[in-house]
Amino acid sequence: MNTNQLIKQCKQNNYKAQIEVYNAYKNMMLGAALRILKNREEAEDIVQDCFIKAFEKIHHLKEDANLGGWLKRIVINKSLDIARSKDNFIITDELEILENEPEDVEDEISISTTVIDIKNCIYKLKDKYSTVLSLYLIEDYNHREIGELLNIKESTVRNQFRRGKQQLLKLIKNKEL
Amino acid sequence: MKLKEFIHQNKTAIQEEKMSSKADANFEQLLKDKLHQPKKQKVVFLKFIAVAASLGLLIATFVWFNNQPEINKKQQQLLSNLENESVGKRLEGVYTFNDEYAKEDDKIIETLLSILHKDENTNVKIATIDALLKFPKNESIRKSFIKALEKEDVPLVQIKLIKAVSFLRENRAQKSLEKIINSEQTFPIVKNNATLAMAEIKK
Repeated sequence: MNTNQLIKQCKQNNYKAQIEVYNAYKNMMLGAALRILKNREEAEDIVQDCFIKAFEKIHHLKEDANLGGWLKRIVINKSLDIARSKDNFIITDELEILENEPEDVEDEISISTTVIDIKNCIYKLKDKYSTVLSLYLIEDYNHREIGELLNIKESTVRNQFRRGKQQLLKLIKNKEL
Repeated sequence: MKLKEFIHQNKTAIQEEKMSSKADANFEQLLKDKLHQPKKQKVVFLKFIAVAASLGLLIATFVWFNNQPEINKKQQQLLSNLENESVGKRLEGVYTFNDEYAKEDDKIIETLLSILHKDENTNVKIATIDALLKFPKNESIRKSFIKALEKEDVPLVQIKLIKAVSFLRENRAQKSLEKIINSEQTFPIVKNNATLAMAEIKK
């Protein structure tokens, strides 16, 4: 079944199609939830709830829509809600000054760096940095969209991103040594 | 290699985390519970109940409408007999009521009470008292017996009424009974019955 057919079948509450959608997107959804919540058990529960919620609301979705993108938005919004409710991260707006630090940080990473290294280093970052970095680098949100999601100014997002990236590169470098 | 480039090249591997098999099994159950069998069955069941209830209501209404004229017809016939000039018809009415009416019917009882007070025929009155005794708890019937006892002067009807208040153990009839016992015009047999009734009520 292609995505259009899957959406159509899910709208008819077809169990097989729902399981197919779940299997196709569960790992992506879990990754997104885990990067925000940093707790596997909790993230798995959230992902399951989000699939159920999505199947209940799927009649709102056009058949030619981006199913993966739609599901990702649901799980990210839900995970951010949970994180906020637990005060996992509070990012407050800063003065409207974009930090004028030059791009002097070496953006290069060693060729020996692995995917696991990157994941571990992101995980070690403070919640506010790992969230902004993940949303930008991995989930492909731009700064404006992240600002809307987190209810902060775009300039704050940019500053958080810059600081987060510096810390991430530092962690990767230390790992390499 | 630049960080952004590395992430871009390994997007899927970085993006995804493997869902545990336990979580997969849980999800299948959750999906069934939330969106499949139970809810469907419940809806079907509720629909079935709703249809059955509607049909039942429809049938009940139909039966009620069909029976309604028949009941009215019967009642009208009975009332017309009770109010008929012919003694035979009035007696027929009273006996029909006695035989066929198990429930109190205000309109018919009102007509029978009127017969008790106003009818000139002894037989009709006696039959009416018998018919009214079917409803010993009816307060207006009990009061009517007492009232009738005060006014009645036909010995046979008097005896029937005395037996009725005695059967009902109607305390409020004592005054009327005393009046009958003390009256010089009362037939001895009526006096005897009244004295016995008085003793019965006072027991």
